[in-house]
Amino acid sequence: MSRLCESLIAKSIDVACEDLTFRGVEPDGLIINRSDIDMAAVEFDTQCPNIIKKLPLLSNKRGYEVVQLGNTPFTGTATSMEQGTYKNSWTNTLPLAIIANGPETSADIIDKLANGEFVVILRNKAKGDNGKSEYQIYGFYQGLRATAGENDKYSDDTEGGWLVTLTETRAPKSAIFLYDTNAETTKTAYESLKGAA
Amino acid sequence: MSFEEAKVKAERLRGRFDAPFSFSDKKEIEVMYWEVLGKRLSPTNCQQCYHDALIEIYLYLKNNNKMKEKSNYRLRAGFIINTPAFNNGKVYSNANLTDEVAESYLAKYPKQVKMFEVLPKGFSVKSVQTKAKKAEAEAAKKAEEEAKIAAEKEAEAKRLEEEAKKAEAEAEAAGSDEGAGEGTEEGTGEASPEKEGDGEPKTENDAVGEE
Repeated sequence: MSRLCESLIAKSIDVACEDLTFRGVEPDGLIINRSDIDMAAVEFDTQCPNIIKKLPLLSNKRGYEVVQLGNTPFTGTATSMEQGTYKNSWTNTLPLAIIANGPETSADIIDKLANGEFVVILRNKAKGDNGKSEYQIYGFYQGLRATAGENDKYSDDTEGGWLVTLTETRAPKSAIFLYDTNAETTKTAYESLKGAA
Repeated sequence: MSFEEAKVKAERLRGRFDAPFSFSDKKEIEVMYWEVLGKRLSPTNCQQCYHDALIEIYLYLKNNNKMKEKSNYRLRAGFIINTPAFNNGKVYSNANLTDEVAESYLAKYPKQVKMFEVLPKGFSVKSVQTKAKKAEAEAAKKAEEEAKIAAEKEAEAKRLEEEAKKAEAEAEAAGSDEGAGEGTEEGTGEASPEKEGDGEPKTENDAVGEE
């Protein structure tokens, strides 16, 4: 028996279509257990240090889709600067609303989110030149960890679902992006992280 | 899972299509999705996603009467093949990776074997390289043979053209000799089809008469 209490997410965070509590758009992102990333094989762009060209996962690992409802999906996502004694750093905050509740949701998503360390890739609406700004990576350096979690039965926002806030503190870079060659190639690389094909 | 088994399972699940799928049904669809389509279905809360997946499985089995052939090679998540010097920089992921592409890539870039999480049994870089060399030699031989045939054809065509030209020149020379000797009104000495009466009917009656 392993002595390590793993907190690996095992289910996509998406929408239970049959249990919709309110309507909205479904912008999607990707959540990866940070320990599943093959850090030794990560490749940064030689020209721009804030671009990751290759973000491979370890064998038989995969990323999971994260889908959020509402007109302003992933609302509250922000990056703010923290002043340090010797060096300033960045704090990334990423709230996730899980509009579902039940044993499977609790076991596979909420409990894992509460204790795990994650990397999330969000797709910006502003794509930038040739799609360079589309895929923004959060949690690469320090990992996103849950700093708040709530299940308010009478919440006007989550309608009885869960709201978990993931935070990365002391990240050395303000933002990093996934980008390889062009928009099409980057999309292929992003899709390949799902391990779906 | 065999094709028949997949078909029976898909039919059975299709019968329960209007009701939400149970936990075991979902697991079964995830397995079938991989077996039939060679794609991974991410576990999800979304019932509709499982319905869509089942439709995809069912239609594939119905339209193709077989399960999708899977590549013996599989890239790790996050890795794609994107090398300008390989196949004109075409991008490959697990979605379009074939055994041939994987083998030729690994033969050329053996160190990139770390990009793969699934390799065929008994795989070795050396065997792939040998296979690629053999294929390359065969392709070169074929190209050489094709080039040889093309060259032969070209030479033959050239020869025929030269012969035709020669014959024409000879005919022209003979004609001019005759013309000079006879001193006819036409001058050229060439036979005129109309004057020779080569069968071109002048009237409808002539044509009927000839028939």
